[in-house]
Amino acid sequence: MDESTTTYIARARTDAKDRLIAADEPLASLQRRAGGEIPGTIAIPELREQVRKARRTNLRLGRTIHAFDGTDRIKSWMEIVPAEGDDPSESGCSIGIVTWQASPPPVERDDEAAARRDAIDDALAELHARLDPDQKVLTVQTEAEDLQPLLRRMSENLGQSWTDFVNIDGSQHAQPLHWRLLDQARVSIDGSPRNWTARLIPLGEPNPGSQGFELYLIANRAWVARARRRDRRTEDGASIGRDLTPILRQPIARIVANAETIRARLAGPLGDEYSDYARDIVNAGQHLLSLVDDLTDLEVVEADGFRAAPDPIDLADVARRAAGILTVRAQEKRIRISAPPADASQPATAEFRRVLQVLLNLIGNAIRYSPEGSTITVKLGSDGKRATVSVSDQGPGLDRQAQRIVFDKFERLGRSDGGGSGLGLYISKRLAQAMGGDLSINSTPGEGATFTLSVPGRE
Amino acid sequence: MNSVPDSILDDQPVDAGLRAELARGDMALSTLTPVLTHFLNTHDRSLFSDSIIARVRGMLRSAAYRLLRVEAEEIGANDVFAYAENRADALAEELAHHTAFLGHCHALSIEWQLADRLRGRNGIDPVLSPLLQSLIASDDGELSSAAMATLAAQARFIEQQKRMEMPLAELPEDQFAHLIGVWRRQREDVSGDLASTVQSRIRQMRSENEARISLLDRTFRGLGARTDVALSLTHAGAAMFLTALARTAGQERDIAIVSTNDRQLVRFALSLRAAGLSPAESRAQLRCLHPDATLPAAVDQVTTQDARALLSSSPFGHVE
Repeated sequence: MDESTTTYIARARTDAKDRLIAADEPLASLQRRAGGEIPGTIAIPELREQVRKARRTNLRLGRTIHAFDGTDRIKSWMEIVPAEGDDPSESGCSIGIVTWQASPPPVERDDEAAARRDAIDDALAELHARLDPDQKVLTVQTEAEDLQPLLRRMSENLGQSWTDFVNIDGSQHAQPLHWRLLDQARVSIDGSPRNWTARLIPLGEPNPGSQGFELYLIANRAWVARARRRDRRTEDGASIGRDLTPILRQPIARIVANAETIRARLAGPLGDEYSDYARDIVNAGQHLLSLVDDLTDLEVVEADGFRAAPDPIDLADVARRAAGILTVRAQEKRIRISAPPADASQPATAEFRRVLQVLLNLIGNAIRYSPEGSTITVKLGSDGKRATVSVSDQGPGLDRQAQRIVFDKFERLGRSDGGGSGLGLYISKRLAQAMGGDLSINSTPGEGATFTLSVPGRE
Repeated sequence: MNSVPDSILDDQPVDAGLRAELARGDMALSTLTPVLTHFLNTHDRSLFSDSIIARVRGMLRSAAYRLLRVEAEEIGANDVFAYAENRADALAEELAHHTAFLGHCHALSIEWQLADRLRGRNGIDPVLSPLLQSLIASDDGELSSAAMATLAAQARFIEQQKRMEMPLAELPEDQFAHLIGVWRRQREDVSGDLASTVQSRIRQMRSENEARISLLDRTFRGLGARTDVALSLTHAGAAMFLTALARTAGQERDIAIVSTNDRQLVRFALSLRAAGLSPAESRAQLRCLHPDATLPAAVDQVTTQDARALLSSSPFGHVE
């Protein structure tokens, strides 16, 4: 069992979630033929079980693993060694393959194979009905969500031919055909988005069908998978954006509006200190609102399938709009925003609202951290392939350490004021990357910082 | 008081845990011999075949899961599937300790096995037996509709058994009460309010579809004086036959089911006699299940009354 005395013909590695992350042949092929991926969950049931056992008990195991790769039966002696680490349950295992035998499976007689196929279809079927010898429905049952309308129609019209309730692809016949022609037929069903295959299993001897039929409907894909996907997203706790934003926004907006009324003394005279408290409430409320928005964006950019929708746009136009939107806020601190001149133009391929979102974030940050009376410069650029827009401030700048982590999630560089969520730059960078571009920083402490958004250019 | 060493006091919780584990082991040891003896002496493994064990396990878990699903929905769990999934094994394990509930699941899986065997050996359709077919075509509207509903319920039963499921709506009233009792005992954190809403939700579900066992009963009662037609396995099919046998012989249906096993030949034969079948008719039914079986000649000599008396003298032999 010692590694030094055992020759492995192949090796593989798993991670802490028992996923196969690397594998030599022939294991890699078997994993794929069994429907798995690399990296991905181990698709060989016996191996998965043993790997989990080895990881949980932190003991090395030697086992014969049996599998079927679709053509051959595989019998292999494998040694599974939990990786060394502080916490073995947190790390995976290495797998060493000592022997590997492939042999043809025993030949199945035709009728056995047919019986097995029927049994598989029976197990997979989501609708079962019992038909009489004329293919009229006697009983029907299904728990599938999308078949409930069909179930109702069939149950209310027992004694009608099953073919009256479904659409058989490529068949115009009104009357039921011979069962052999209908067995394996593709059918579509009103109310179900899925495609179905019908199986007719004849009952009765010696004439098949003399005692009626069993009808199975088998779907081309699982319905539960959708519900599960939904559930998984809920489990991740990432539902804040989708589920909570609409609920949170309204009450917070009311708090802000009412606090604003008090602050501006619109409802009557009020002591200064109370007006100041109200201003604090307004600020906190606005912060809360932007936090809610940030979390919504976070969920969007972190979703697996997140893609931007790039269009031909003019970066100069977006930059001027962003500067215009924030001019008033800048003026409160006597900050001047130097935007690209009206005749400047910088063609690019990107999503307008996403670029605007990034620029608002960059200019907003610059306003927040720049000294009073300074200037923020928004500049365009291009290097042929890429179009860029940069935002420079005259603030304190960032040192190397801070530059490395400034795009990290929830990173606020040690600040604890009510200014931001630490999500803005992270989200901006993810948005830039989703558009095929990037967001970078260039800064010298004491001399301000320049954030540059680059996106694919367009001539 | 100072004489008690600290270490004993400290060890008490650990000690209790070990003791409980040891007691579990004791129980396993005490059942070792009877189980082994049973297997050594029976060639027919049908009572404890892998398929029966798997099916019973599946049914226990299915009942537990379905109950927990309702609980999850009532407390508004985020992910009702995961909520039920995570707790189902523990509840199923408790259910397995409940003799009556376990016995019912076991009996149903034996019934399915019997129906499946009758199909393979005698070509009897497990869903639509010749008797049911003729009852559906009957002029008696009430009987015909009961038979039709039985057919649908029987089709559901066969599918459920294939999937090793135990829907709550199919549980007889006393078994349902057992299930709720085990659940309340195991889930002490479930409040009385929640328990009663869960119960009433399930009662609502139960009232929507009449259970198969009760439909079989209704159809059987509809036969009136012609009950003998249901006392033929090959004519009535397993389900109807077992209901008829239980009713006419005054046995629990679950016991009647288990009596079809080859270790219960005498009980089965006596039940047939108690149901009013002649010795020859009883033999015919017995041969249908056990072609090679030989019966003590005494079975022929007992009267219907004797058979009933004998059966009811057995601790399993009467309807509670």
